[in-house]
Amino acid sequence: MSSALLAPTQAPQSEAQVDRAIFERASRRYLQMSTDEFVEKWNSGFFKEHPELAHKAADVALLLPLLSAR
Amino acid sequence: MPGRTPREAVKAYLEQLQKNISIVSQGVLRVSNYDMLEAVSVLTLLDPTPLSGRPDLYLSFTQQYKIVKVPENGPFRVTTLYYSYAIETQDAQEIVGYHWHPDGVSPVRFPHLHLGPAARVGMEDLRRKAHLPTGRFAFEEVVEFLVATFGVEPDRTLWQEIVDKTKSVFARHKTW
Repeated sequence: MSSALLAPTQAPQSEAQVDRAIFERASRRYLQMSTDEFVEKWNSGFFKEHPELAHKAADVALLLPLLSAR
Repeated sequence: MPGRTPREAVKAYLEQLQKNISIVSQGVLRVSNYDMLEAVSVLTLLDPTPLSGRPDLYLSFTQQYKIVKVPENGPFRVTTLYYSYAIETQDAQEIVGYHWHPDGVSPVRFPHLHLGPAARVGMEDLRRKAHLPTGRFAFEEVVEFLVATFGVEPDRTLWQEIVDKTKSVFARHKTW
């Protein structure tokens, strides 16, 4: 039997996991923070007090429906 | 974009945009909702994607949309609520960004262009604060801009025909 057949395979992700992973990567790429940290700061109004981050925060916030879509 | 069912309308909407994304990149679009009417939904690239022939430049694409029922047209159609198209560096520094967010937190409600820090514009006001009005910008126009300005290599022989065709479909169905 070839070793390729024995190679471990990744468990398939659910749709919700894929959506959450997209959000997580965007939050880290643009704001260097996790999804949970972003959501907490978005809800608390943190970004209104930090206009230098507001533009990127607004772009990440566009993706918020991904966290509740499925 | 009309369809006989919500899913058909979303698929038609997605297909037009994916064709244009595929002209300039290997990026794959994903939608968050095919079925639920009136729900704020997301159409986005899985990740910002490098541009064909310009691997130093990345395309970011996100729209919010909703599926609506319009008995005289469709009867289902997808309507865009918000768009953000940006050209970025690999490390996420924006060069240019096309935005429209009529219901967002920003007081700026008209479609506009941002010049990001990686555009290296000298004037501070333009670099950080300016919302340069554009009118509604079709993604097809971004594709043409990328090819003409940044030397992105289109990945389809008949790319201009695809752009013209999907742009005419967009123009026929847009509501403003």
